[in-house]
Amino acid sequence: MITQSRSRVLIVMSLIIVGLTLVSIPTFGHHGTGISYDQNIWVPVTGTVLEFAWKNPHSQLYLAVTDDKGNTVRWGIEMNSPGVMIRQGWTNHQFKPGDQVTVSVHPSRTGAPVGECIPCSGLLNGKELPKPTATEERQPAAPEEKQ
Amino acid sequence: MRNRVIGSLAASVLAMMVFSSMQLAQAGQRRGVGTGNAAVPVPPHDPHDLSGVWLLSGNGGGRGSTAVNQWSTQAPPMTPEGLAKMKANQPALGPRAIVPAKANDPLGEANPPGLLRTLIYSRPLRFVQLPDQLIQVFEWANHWRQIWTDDRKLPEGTGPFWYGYSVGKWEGDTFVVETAGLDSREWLDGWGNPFSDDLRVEERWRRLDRDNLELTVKFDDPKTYTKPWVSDKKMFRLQPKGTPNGELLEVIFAPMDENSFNENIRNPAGGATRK
Repeated sequence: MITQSRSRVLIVMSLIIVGLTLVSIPTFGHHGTGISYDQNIWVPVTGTVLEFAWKNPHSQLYLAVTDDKGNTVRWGIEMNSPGVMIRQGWTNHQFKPGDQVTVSVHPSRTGAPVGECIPCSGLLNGKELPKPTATEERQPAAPEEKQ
Repeated sequence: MRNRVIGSLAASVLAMMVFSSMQLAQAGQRRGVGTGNAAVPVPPHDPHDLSGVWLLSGNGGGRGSTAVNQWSTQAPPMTPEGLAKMKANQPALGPRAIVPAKANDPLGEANPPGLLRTLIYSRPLRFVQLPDQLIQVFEWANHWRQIWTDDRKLPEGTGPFWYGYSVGKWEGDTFVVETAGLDSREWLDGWGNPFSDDLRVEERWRRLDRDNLELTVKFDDPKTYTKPWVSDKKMFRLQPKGTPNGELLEVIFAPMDENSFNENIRNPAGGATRK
């Protein structure tokens, strides 16, 4: 039990570290949703896949997540556009309903169950998702914002 | 499990190292342009042939606190009419950004980005040179434009067109393109900077070597800006076939997809909906 707990902590730490290292990648995006998220933090979100929308302007992953009170909450995860993700090895079959997923997201500033996984890293059924590349897109909300 | 985590971390660090080295290599190649470094062989190229797939380097600019817009750090002041139009444009990007559900960016409703925003958006574009025209095919939003090279003049009263009406000619090794008739409902950039229907644009494309293409743009729009101005240099890099950006993909912003995204992600993320 202790080993499982430590492993879980290590996984979470790993995802956070990966997220923090990737935040330095210069990114760019046109829909400006970045301002809606807290770009200063990454939080892990774990849940079961309900739907994967492989569509423009940005792909969307919907998860059933169990919150602290035991309630099931539908989370929406914003991902990059299919064109960018294809170039990093993702496909429209990347997720299917029932898959177990943990991803690092910038959470919505409003506290809504919505997050941004750009660039996206995480685990799919225990295996790492394909790595993001330099073509990830996200433009800073303001020119002085860190890239 | 622990080994998997360690492996994950190691892979992440390795990916970052590879990415950093790629950036350094590209920077080195850029530094090599025009430096006369005899140690670096210069691949042959025809400066009058712009064919191929190109990708804007540096994500289009607009970085740093001195940027006036995404085209320039030195654009002149706007006219009162220009200022009023700028204030009416509410972007979700740049120094005046607000949450996108409250913004009025035309792209948010899946309208075409138009020529000017497309040129500074870092997605592959293909140049196709024909005897009487040069065609630019843009991956972003799946659009294209014709640049007529058959000595015709810009017609009076042309447009409005989202991608304008363009004619081009060679001046030495520089391909000079004049464009008019741009639809001013679109923006100059993602930051909500405006232009008027009277805008005249002069693009100057120059292939520095096989792999690097330089663009500067002159904007002449007396309704919006107090004097003509020239953009910062924009650099494009050749994307060979077989590389990730070497072929264009379909990128269409369908209103039904945009609406679904806005309803399920964009609006709840920003805690707001447009009235």
